[in-house]
Amino acid sequence: MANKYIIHGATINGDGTAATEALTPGGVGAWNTITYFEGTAPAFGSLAAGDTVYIRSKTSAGADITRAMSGAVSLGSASGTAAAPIVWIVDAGTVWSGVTGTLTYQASAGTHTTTVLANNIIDQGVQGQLVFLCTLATTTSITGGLLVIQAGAVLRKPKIDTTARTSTSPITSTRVYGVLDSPLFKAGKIGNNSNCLIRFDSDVRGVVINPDIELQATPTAGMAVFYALDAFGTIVGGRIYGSGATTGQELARFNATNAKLTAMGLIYPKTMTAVDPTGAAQTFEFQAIGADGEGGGVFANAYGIADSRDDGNYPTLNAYLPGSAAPWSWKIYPRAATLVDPFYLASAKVFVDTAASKTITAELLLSDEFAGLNKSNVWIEGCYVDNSTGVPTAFGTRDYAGAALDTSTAAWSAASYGAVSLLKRKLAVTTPTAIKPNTLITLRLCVAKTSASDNDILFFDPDFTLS
Amino acid sequence: MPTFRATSPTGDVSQYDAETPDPTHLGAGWRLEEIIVVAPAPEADPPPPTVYEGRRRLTHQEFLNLLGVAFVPILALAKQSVEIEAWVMRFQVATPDESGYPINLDDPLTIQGLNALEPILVAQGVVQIGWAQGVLNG
Repeated sequence: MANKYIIHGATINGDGTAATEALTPGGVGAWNTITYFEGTAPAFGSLAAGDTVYIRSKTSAGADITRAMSGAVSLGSASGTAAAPIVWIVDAGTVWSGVTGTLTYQASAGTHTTTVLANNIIDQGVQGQLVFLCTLATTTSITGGLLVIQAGAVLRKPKIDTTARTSTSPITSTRVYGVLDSPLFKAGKIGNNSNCLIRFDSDVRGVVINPDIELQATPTAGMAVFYALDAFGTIVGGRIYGSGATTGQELARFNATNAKLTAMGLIYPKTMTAVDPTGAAQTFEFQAIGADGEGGGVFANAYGIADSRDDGNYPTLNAYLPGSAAPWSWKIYPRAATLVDPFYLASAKVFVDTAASKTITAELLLSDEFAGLNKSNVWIEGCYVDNSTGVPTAFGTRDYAGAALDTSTAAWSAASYGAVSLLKRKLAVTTPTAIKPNTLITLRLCVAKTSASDNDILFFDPDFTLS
Repeated sequence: MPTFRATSPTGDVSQYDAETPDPTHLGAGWRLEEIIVVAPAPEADPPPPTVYEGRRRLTHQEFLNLLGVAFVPILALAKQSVEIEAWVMRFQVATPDESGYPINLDDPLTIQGLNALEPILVAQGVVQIGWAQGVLNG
């Protein structure tokens, strides 16, 4: 495992083993061409698994490097292995003092896809030194994606610039099959339905860490930031912001295959639509935690969506975030829930009282416009541990006869949400036997009626009571 | 000769060819780029044709289909050779794994057997050289 060096444009090509320019061809000194970063075998010296290659971020003449693509480009070397990947570092003054430039891959046609090869790690001293720039404005599609990170590849701190896009019809997605760490996205119009800005597909678990995504163009329906096709994508941290991060901009879409997206700590405006299920399979699932910069969550599947954003101004009752004075509740929109496929939302608490039979009560607020809700299509079911036997024991409130939901006088913070008036209701069941102390009571709210309009919503206090 | 693109502090852009850049363009506030056209990569060999869209695990029937005209001659050979009979029997008893398919084209014994059978079948005029690879392409 050795350090190698590239100074693009150096007069003489060395063997890559030193950061200075070589005095003789093949002599000790830096390689003099960026093509070795693009898969060309070095003319002198060698590139082996586990090597670290430092790339001077300006040419020997002092200019930033712009690679005008004429076709697809692959970055990295096939010599890397999973155990010993090759590391490429675009230097920001550590090796070459005072030299902090940029290396840009400029895509201007439909075949200009840049691929980061497996078993290669590409890093840079400062975020945005390595730039993937798309200059296409309208209809031409980069059908393979603007940038592809293969499984087993890691790309750190790049800048992906598609601000030139003014039309939604072209495809300029970044396809993540490996790890994309701390990318800076500057996005114009986002591409069409199955591509979007960042795409996960092919039954691979791609990961995007701490993305900084600025959306600069007016949103267009159907053009989401993330798209998952037969894949499981994970986004950790990061933020979405900008003039385009607003009403009409969708966060995620899925296609008609098994797909799941999880966003842990990704902050995005509450005005954005979390998920549009159009075209998604029945098995898709979306989860987000911390979308509001606090502890708020979002959960969506084919049957409904629930969110608990702290900035949603939802009516609250008993539940508080751990270690916080911030109350919270779930807002539920059962957009496609039915008797066959209800929308479920889980909760749980530890029973810390002395052993006793208890009445478990879940408090709800229902839109007064949401017709037809009763105990057959809104219920709770769950499980407690029997104090005598130690056996998990089920409970439930479902009444197939469809009795009316019990009214409630719970002191919610509000009985309306915007223009929607809310009715206080509750679901309660008394355990037939004593609950074992210091055991978990699990419960889930089940909603089996489809919303007929955007105002057909419910609020659920997850801190169910025991009395 | 290198191509340079210089962006002035006021945003004016100029592009020119020169052995070395204008020293002015290396000054404060200027952005100087060397524009280097990436040579197109050599055209890759087309991938081998596949029958089942590259799927490496097959049903019994699909595997028999891939054997083609060699299927009956292989059964005849199995009656003459215990080793070949044992190889054939492996496929008969194979059951689906977690993929749902019983036959694995990447199994070393599958590859070994097909490669061993090819010269015999070629000598008999049943198949041509390359038959085994054709089966293994899927």
